Amino acid sequence: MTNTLQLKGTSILVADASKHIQNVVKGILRQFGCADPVAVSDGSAALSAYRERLFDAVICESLLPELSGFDFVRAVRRLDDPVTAFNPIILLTSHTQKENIFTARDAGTTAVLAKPISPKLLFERLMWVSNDGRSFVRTPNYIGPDRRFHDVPVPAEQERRSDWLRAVEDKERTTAANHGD
Amino acid sequence: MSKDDEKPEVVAPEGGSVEIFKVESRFARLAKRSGGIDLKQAVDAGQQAIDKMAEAYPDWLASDLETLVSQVGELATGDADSANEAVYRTAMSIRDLGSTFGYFLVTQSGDLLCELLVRKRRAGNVDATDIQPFIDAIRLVATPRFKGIEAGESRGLLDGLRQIIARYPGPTVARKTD
Repeated sequence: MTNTLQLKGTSILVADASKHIQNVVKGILRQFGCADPVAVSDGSAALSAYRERLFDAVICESLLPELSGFDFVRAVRRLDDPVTAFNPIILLTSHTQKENIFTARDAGTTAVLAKPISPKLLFERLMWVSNDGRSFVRTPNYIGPDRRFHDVPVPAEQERRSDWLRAVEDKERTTAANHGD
Repeated sequence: MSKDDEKPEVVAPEGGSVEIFKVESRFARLAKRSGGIDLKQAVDAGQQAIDKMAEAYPDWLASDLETLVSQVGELATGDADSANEAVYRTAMSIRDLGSTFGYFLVTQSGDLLCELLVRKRRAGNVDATDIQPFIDAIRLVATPRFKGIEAGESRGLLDGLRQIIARYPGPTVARKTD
């Protein structure tokens, strides 16, 4: 894990209904080294921009007009292009109640950043997503980063993964045991 | 590196109920290159950006307040639901910018306005009643003498706004029955 962030050469999309907040986020990102952040004011424009141009990361407000930030994240995660579909997305929100955080997580968001924005918090979130080692998960109902942040064994009665996957893991464990690992 | 090189390594078969795969995004690769900035450098650099924008902040706030007053006017004359949503968005913008520029009480009073709007809407009341005192309070605490003052240091200043909010039902809190 690195403790520095190199944003030169990165392309970041910022989506917020407020032009002033767009200016603040873009101003901070430029100081961090991202030369040309692009800003849009609603969710539909964000999705159009995202489809038209190769972005490396997105910072978007949860309550965007036209298409909410949550729906934007869901749409991105369902894109056919495996490169752009799995880019980091940081959701900005003024509403940090548990249900909003759960909605953001279940939409496939990489990280949530509470407003008001500060350079410290924005830097920490960008650092966090650049070091995020979680796998991606695709199920019929969810596409996004693994929602389990901690590597804690799931109790058997709560295990919802496929029998197939469990069989693979059992086989791997058996193989490892046979090799004395 | 071509896009094909960046395709994720899928460790479960297509068509299975769960696919789990590792992806290292282009962002992660670029961000980890040498020559980056650390937290202290980032905070200093980011603060410089905010200091530059601080001169413009009073104009931004004045513009947001002007928009807010106009939108509140539309609550009585236009489509109340969409006008209410517009008022809420502008209130959010006011709230979300104040602290960034050291106007903590602007954020606090903007937050109280958002709370009022949520409670009024929940009560089926999307008119302009009771909104004006919040606009007046924001105008007051947006003056330079309130810059840098935290909510805890201004005991009583926003109590009147809280009393107005208390006229509307708050969120339902689940109670333990045993």
